[in-house]
Amino acid sequence: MWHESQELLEQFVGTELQDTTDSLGDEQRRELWQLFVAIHDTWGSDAARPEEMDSRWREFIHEKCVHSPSYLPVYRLACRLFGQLRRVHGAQMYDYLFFDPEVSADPLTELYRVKKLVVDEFIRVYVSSGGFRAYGGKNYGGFVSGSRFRSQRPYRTFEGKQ
Amino acid sequence: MSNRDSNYQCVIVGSGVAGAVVAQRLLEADPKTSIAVIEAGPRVPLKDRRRWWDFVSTAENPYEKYHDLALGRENQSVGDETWVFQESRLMGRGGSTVHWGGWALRFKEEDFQTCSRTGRGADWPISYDELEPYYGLAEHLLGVSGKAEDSHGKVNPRRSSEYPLDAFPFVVADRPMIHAFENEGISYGHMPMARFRKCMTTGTCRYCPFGARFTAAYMWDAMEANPQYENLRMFPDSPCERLVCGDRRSVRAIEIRDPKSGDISRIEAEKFVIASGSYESPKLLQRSESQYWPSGIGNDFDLVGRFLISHPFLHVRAAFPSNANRWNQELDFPTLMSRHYDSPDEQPQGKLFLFKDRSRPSLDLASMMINGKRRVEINRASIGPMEFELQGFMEEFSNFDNRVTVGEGRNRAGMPQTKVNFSRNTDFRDRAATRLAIMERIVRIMGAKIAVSAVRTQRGDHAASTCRMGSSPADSVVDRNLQVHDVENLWICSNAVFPTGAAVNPTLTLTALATRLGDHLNGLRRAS
Repeated sequence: MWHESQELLEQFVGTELQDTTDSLGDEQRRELWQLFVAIHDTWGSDAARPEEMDSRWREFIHEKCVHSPSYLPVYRLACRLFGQLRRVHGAQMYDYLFFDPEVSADPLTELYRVKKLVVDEFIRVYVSSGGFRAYGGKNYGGFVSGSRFRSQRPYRTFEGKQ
Repeated sequence: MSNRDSNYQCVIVGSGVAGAVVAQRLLEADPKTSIAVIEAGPRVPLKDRRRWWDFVSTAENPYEKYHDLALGRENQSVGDETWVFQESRLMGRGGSTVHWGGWALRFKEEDFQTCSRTGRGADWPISYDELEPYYGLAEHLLGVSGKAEDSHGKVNPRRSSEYPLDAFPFVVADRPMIHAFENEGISYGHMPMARFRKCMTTGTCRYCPFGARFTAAYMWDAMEANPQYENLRMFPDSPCERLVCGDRRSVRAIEIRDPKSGDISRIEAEKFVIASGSYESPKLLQRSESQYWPSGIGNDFDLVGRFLISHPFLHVRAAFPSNANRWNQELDFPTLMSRHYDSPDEQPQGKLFLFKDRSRPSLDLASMMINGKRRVEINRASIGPMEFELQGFMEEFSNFDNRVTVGEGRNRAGMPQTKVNFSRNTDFRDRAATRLAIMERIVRIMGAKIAVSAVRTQRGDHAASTCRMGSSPADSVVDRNLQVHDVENLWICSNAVFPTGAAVNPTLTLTALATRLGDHLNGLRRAS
């Protein structure tokens, strides 16, 4: 299981791994952001809105693009793939990406790799950026909940007799 | 063979917390002290946002390449009980504090008298009282959050200083276990945690993006950046081959092997401190054979590497039928612990340190989504059965036959691999059963249904006692000041010197011992 993501990334992009320029176009950013919003629409609630997660998501994308191994080629391919899938599935494209077992059926396909490296990672970023709140709790792995000082209580506590 | 920047006043082998504390103590006393720090592993990038995001977005272990590989690929376990190396230590600048959990507990007074009180194991040649002031210094150095009084209002072990930081409040999911403790009259308290100064409760403690959890790497950062410490040199990626004696009573140099070329270089020094953990410290002594020490340094009585212990890990997993309040752990560390059975009365059976699992109850929401679960299914799961675990470390008594030796081949860092021969004491299963019975009783009082009650496969995270401290070379490897018997300029500073392992995590005690050793070395320098 060690670094399945990294292995996938290396198979996927080959020599393009050295590309460390953050040069996603506006259209590509919009496409990726739409995926993030679709994750919210599918599993989230008003307890945490995607607009509130925007700065975290942007930092995530920046870090993934400018540092090696760069995800730029992956993100670019994902955008192309989403364009093709939208033509086939229309408004049901995200349902297909999120729920259809066919997407994860063949590890050798570009679709499988985009699911693992883009969709699945976006889901983890979404949940840890506040999406967990739809299912209860004040804190979750990856969420920067704040200071530990008593006045702020960044997680649900039990005071008891202590 | 080449010489690297000889000659130093002190060589420290190993850059974990023990080596860092000794170096800091020496440099605070005399900033011009020349110190060479020899680290087998590389510098580990910390507080790196990309690495943190990779950890968050892939859930993959950020330290895999600094760990031992799985058995079968690296190291050998040859006893009756399988000994797990993987993920039990970290080879890199900062040592195992780079990946540790940060639990920072003091041993208790009776832990220093195990043999006198039980007839098993060994006594420490120093007492709790002698170490107590150093425990206070260690807690301040590591930035420990804690509360001295337990739920019965008692402070045990006694202490002369407060914790430097307030304890983390209990998570709400601790509540059923707290009620069970109270119903049974079992004292409990807050887990003391080395969370430094600015914990933001990210729940990603294994890779903290802010550097909130203490690691010795941050001490090195500060020391290496201090312009006053101009004679401090760090040598990463430098596995030690052996110590070279000038005569029977002194070490003259250390040999380092370039992991890529295999070339050997030598560093000379006046003093040598081996702070390489419970595997590498004895292996280095064993490898350092010479006309003066034909069986390796300090090994005339065949004791180096023997008496290996670690904590048996006991766990009772259970579940409540529902989780109406959607409780989860919310933190990546435990807040609730009990030292009620970590007591003199329990010592003959093996003291028991209890804590609630740091990762349960939990629901991996992202994995459910990734696996195509619908919102309604995740909602149902979030209020469905609530799993939790009561866990415990049990004290184990050392056994002469349990031993660390040099294994076959080299590991990824270029060090000789490790062979562990480890078997359980004959009465272990019976004693462990009594400990599990205590834990099961607590869980039943909670009203939960037990699914698992067992001793886990033995891991080496808290490996200790392989160069144990004592009064004579016939029963120990180092003396009360951690000096290898009969060698005037060689000290061991690692869990290896612990005569016993008590029931709690070793790092705070190691930090206290390292602080004390630093003061001892400074005292020797002043005297000379």
